[in-house]
Amino acid sequence: MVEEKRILIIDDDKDILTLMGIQLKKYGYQITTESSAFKALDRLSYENYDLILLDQKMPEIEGIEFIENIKNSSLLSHIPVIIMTAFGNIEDAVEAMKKGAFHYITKPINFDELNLIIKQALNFSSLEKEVKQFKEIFSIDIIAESPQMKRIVRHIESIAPSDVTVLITGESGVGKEVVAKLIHKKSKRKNKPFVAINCGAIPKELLESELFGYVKGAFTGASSNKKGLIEEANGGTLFLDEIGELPIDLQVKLLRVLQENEIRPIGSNKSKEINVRFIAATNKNLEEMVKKGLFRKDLFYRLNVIPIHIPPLRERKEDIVPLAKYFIKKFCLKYNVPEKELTKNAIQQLLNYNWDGNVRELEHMIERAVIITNGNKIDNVLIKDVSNSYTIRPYNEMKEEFEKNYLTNLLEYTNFNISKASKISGKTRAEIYRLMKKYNIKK
Amino acid sequence: MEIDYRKLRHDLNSLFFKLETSTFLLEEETNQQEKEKILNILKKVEKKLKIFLNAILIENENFKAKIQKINISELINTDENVVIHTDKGILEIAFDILFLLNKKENFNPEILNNKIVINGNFELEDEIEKYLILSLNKFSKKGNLKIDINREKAVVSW
Repeated sequence: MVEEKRILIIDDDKDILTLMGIQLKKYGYQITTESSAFKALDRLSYENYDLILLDQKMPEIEGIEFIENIKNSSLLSHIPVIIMTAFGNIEDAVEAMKKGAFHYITKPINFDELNLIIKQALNFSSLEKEVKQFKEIFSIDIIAESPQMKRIVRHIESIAPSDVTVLITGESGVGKEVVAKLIHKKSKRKNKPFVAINCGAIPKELLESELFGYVKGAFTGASSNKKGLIEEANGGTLFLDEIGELPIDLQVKLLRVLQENEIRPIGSNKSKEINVRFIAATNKNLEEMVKKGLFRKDLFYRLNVIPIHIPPLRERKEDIVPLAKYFIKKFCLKYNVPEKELTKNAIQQLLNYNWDGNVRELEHMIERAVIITNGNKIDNVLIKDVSNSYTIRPYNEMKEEFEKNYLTNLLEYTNFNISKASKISGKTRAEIYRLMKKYNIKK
Repeated sequence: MEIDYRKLRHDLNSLFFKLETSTFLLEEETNQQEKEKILNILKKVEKKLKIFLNAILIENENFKAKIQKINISELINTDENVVIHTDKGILEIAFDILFLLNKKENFNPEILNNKIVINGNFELEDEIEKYLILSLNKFSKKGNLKIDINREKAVVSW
């Protein structure tokens, strides 16, 4: 259901309040009226409103003074105020806008015009709120409530300022890149590039040119010079994820870079000096690999100057709920849905689960829960379990079942608002209509 | 008491705004409770406009008061047999204004020998009401009446 926006109308003329209240309710707003400016200020201290419509001339307090009160309050300054002016006194209205009013409207009021201004003000205010939330979300570096993670954060604080090489280990999905980024952010290189490469995700044949770059004519197809990622990271940090996947011949070349602080692009006979901090990460046991001859011992020691081991999520249960809450905020923002809370049952589920996929699995699980849950309470987080209980049937049959369920939930959630459903699902409106027809889903 | 004519114009505009909006809302889909609220507003607006327009007429310089004998029971629901020598039109408007200005539900005048006392709440709502009081004071003299009004009571004497 679409949330009704709450509007507080303040005017000393009670009849005008009544008439405006009746009319604005018809536009779908939730209306409260107040004929005293002082009472309105009091009401604002304990009730939430999305917008204030304020008469400019009030017996107790002038509109401008009222706006100053609102805008000086950290709790109320985000509420847009529309001034209703009747004296044809545009100067006062302009002054009110200078003090922070969103807009003004002259009496007698044209309701269609007023509704347009209200919509603009609410859109603007919701954008402002989103930007603020985005800033809040993205200003969080790491969630560390457990003693283990707090220790790691303290360790990072001490080693980040130096250029020492770091080797981060831990199971897949524990957040090794998050830690690498935090080291970069806390270092004196923070204003320079942070370049990440997943050594396991790039085909062996391309990895060398990706890392070292090449010069024109180095091989067929090298029609121009290309900088490698090591050079791209010059002055900053290069994060080598899944370093255990690096082929032996490239391990030698990387070792040279670490020792000499210079690179030589493929096909070039000149070396280039570089200034890069290296952070590597792996979910493999490199020491074992060294013993088996799969990883160079000298490179291992070069990388493992400062080792940081991130424990799996199941060993630091204190982080689970704070991480889940953070992801809920993030995905509610992403999918433009009202913020949701975890029920006691959901928290218990989270704490009892084993989290073999670590933080990444938790993130995906929460994303699913945010999309699928109706209302503002998440009661079932382990939605994966439900799908796992299905009997394995032919792919197309299961795909259709998923599509139908997904669409039904999506449309119920959006109250059959196709535009919103399209935005959330990433499908076009036409695709949604086609699927509705296919599965005979009607309002 | 001085009239702020700009504010007076605003308050009159406000009356027209209420008229216009009420009519518009009654044409729209409104529930019974809303209808009742709108009708109450319309009644108030109609009354205020009627008295205001009458007061302007009375204030016209060409108006000549026609003094006659009026029994107070003709204007107020009372059994008292009190006769006032004044202009009937002026007295009617004077009472209309006092009815309007009195914000109490009941209008119970206390009728004495040569005066009527109305206890009430005469707090002014807008510039129109201020204008009506000023008018009242001006034209009551023509009708041999004396009207004293303050926040708590109004006294009409002759």
